[in-house]
Amino acid sequence: MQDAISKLQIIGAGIFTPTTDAGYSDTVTINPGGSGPTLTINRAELAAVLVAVQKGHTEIATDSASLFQIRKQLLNPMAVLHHLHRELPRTL
Amino acid sequence: MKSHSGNIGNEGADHLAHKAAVNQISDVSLPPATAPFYDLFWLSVPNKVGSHAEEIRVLTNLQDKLKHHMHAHHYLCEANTDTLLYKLWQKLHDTPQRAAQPDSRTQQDTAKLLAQAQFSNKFWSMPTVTFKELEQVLKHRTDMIHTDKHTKRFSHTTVPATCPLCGGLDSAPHVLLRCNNHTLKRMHINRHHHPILGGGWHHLQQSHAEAFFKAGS
Repeated sequence: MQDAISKLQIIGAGIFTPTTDAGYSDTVTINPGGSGPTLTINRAELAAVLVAVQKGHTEIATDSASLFQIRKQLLNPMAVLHHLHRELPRTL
Repeated sequence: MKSHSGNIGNEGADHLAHKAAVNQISDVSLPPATAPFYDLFWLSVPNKVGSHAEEIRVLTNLQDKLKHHMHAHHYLCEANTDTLLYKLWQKLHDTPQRAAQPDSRTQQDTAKLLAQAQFSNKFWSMPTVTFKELEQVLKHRTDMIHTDKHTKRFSHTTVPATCPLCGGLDSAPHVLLRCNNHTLKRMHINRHHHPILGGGWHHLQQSHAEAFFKAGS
């Protein structure tokens, strides 16, 4: 999305954990840390998945196509050697 | 999960992402991304702008652009262009209009054309000229014919580069015209007479011949 004032591209990511039977609920906002050519929606989605995994979540519901990139990193790592956000799926 | 499906969890995550992007305040910050193209290289050439500044111009493709650049800069390889032969060769390419222009400093006519391109290259299509003769002409034109001059230049011999027939300084022009040996003199005369008295001249059209005489005069 664009910043209303500077009209620059900005990105953000978030994790929403709904209330469970145990009464646990959580929201996390994430700064994906991209700049220039790495300031993409794809990076924000990958960042959200990465932080969710780092926080110990094992069941992640997302509408992101970044799942395909994570799968590619696992099955064919040489194919994403020069990927724009290669460090994120590699950390995953 | 299907996108834009109205799932409450998905909508909540979208709202959080919007909040993080707009407010620039986030619970978790990932480290800045690494330079994305740090290991990618692309060919570029120095592009001189003005007299001092020099900037890099990227070659837009690796086919004709690269070929054009390499040809312009390297088609002569390490050849020495400060030679009489090279200058004479360059003069052959002068157009009649360019050769007719007077020198800007001396206001005199520049050097005359050394060769008429039309007639000088007519022998390529003459049926009476054999392939061997064509090869010899090309060698003479490019100074690639092997004489004692080359033998001496490439240090294949220690004796002076002299003609074995007449004792004069050996070179391609010497073989063609200047050798005083009786047999070679006869060959020179025959070669001069052959195009006129033999079949070669008839292959030139009459209009071409008239133009040739006008140019000669």
